[in-house]
Amino acid sequence: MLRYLIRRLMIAIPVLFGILFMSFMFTRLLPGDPLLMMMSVEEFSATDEYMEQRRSDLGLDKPVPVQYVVWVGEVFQGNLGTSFHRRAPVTELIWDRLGPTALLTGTGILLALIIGIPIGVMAAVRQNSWFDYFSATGSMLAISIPNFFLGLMAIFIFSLQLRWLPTGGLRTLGMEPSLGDSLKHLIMPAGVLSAVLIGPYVRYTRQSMLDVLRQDHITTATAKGVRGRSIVIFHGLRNALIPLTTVIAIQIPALLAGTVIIETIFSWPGMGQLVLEAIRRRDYPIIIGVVLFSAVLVMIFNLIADLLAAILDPRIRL
Amino acid sequence: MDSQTTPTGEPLLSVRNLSTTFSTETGLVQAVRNVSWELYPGEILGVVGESGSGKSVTMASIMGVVPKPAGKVSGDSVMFEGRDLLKLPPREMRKIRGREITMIFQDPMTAFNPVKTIGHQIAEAIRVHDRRVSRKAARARSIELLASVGVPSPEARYSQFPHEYSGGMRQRAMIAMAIANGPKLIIADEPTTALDVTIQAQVLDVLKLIQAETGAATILITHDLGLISEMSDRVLVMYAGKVVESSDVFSVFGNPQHPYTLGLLASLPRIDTRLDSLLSIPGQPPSLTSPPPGCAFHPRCELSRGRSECWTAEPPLVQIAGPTDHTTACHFFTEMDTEAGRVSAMLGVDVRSKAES
Ligand SMILES: Nc1ncnc2c1ncn2[C@@H]1O[C@H](COP(=O)(O)OP(=O)(O)O)[C@@H](O)[C@H]1O
Ligand SMILES: [Mg+2]
Repeated sequence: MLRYLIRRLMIAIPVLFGILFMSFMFTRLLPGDPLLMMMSVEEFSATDEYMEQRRSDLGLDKPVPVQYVVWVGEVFQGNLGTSFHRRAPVTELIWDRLGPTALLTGTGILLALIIGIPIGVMAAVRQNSWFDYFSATGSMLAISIPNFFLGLMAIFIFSLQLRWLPTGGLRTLGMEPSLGDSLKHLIMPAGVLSAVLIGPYVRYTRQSMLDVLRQDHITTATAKGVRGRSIVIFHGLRNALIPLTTVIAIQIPALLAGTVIIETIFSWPGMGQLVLEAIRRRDYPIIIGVVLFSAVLVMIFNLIADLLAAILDPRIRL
Repeated sequence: MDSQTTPTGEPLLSVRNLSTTFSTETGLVQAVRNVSWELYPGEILGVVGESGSGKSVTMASIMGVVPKPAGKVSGDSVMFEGRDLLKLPPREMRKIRGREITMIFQDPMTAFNPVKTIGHQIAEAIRVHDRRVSRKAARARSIELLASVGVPSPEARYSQFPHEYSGGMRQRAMIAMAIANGPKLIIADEPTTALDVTIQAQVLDVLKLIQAETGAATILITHDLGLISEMSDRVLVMYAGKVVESSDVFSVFGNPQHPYTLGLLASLPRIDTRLDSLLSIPGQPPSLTSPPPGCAFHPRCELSRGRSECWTAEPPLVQIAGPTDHTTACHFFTEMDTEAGRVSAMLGVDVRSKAES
């Protein structure tokens, strides 16, 4: 286990450096002074002498390879530079946005799993029944409707017509933060996100269940006298979860960085909005920061996927 | 095995006109076609036939585990101890499966759930049939069972997963699971086919031992005639979803009454034949989507050459006059002695042999 972790980290290191290198090249290719990208907020009002001093401190008068090393050193200390536009450290900005995004995607994924897995299991058990066809059609429909449309429809129905839910935001401004209020704000964006995810989850679940239910050990369990329901859950789903977990875990980083549309529609102060704004304003430190952050997330969730697979499948030895 | 003739008394299992079909994209597969046979308490019935002849599907039909909705089982009855398994409600059938009738499968690698320990799976077999057995008691009993089939250090083995067992050990564990609830009938479907030759003998010894100890009737499915002659009391020969010959093991080996059985015997490697003189049955097993008309074996049969009867009329399974309960489904079985002589002369050795004892 420990050896596996170490080996995985060893593999991760060159990948990380590759990404760092590309990001670094990007900062050097951009117009403008790289010094600006590495300064902290307080330093923006500094004098020219101070700037020169800082430039040599940061080694920006040195050859490019040395600069790379210095830059990497800064990154490892958590210094991703300062946002041009927001005048705040990039690390801090990302950190602030991570919470709401994690809340939104976490809830969306959870909802989609709670709804999607049972439907997928049923569809597999009753293969080619009306339920199977119905769920397949429903999944297709949910995937083909663009999520911005779904979001706007939801706002129209639940906020404007029924007036049940707020149109957006993390919580009602000027109100004492409360769980109920937060939930009211969360339910629509998370629901729309889950609607997008349910279709694929139903299909993964159905497919891996079908694969498992065809296996010999299911016949053994039946021949042993195990009840149908127990076979489906304890023998079928238990095995089908192995590929399912991997698919879902690997997908999470993309969701964390990719709920831009839903966040925008529901004015959700998450990563997607941060990135969108940064792109619009050419706020390179933020863009590079998010790229690096996403890369690290991908690596972490790949590792998590492997660990989960190893926990669920005794045949996998780490 | 001992040289018994026709078993007497009530059969334990009596199969009457059983048929099983599968609807597939290429058509209706007639996997089992109207078979009838019986099994007597305590005996070992060998079921032999080329792969695809419907052996496994017959047993799955009896157990009620034919995959639905593609598979359809029909027939008059499958009587097991006074109950018709074809008409039993699912709840009642579930009580029989794994308790009164158990199965040992061909490939012990895939027959166990890969993510649960062997011990857990044996204990499950015990506990699904008796909820009053505590986890602890089921565990203790499972360990006992593992020990009884010769799995070394059963305590430790209890907590191991299938992939940590060798093939032979897995099949022993499978046997342990099959005898967990004291079954009246054990169906072993090619229990050694997937194993190394050296391991096969060991697993067979275990099987013989537990059969002798438990006295459970056993159906041994195999395409290995050697195994049949060594293990079983009576033999059922299946071809293209039908029973073509059945009798006690001595009559089938010493006096085959169906050309297909003779063909199987002639293709059996012997110590006293040169390998190059082995005869294999010409041609391929027929399609079960559209079985040949008349006798399904006629396209591959020496006896049927030029005889229209073989492809126009289906031969019924008839009783042969004699001291034993010997049946065959061949229009020209009376010529079988001559035919056996001809084949033996060709091979230079009498293919009709005494069953090994
Ligand atoms: N689930 C299934 N669907 C369609 N055809 C099947 C199925 N199971 C078995 N068959 C067919 O039934 C026939 C008999 O198979 P089987 O009983 O497994 O043969 P064997 O004598 O080798 O055990 C074969 O032709 C096989 O292709
Ligand atoms: Mg078979």
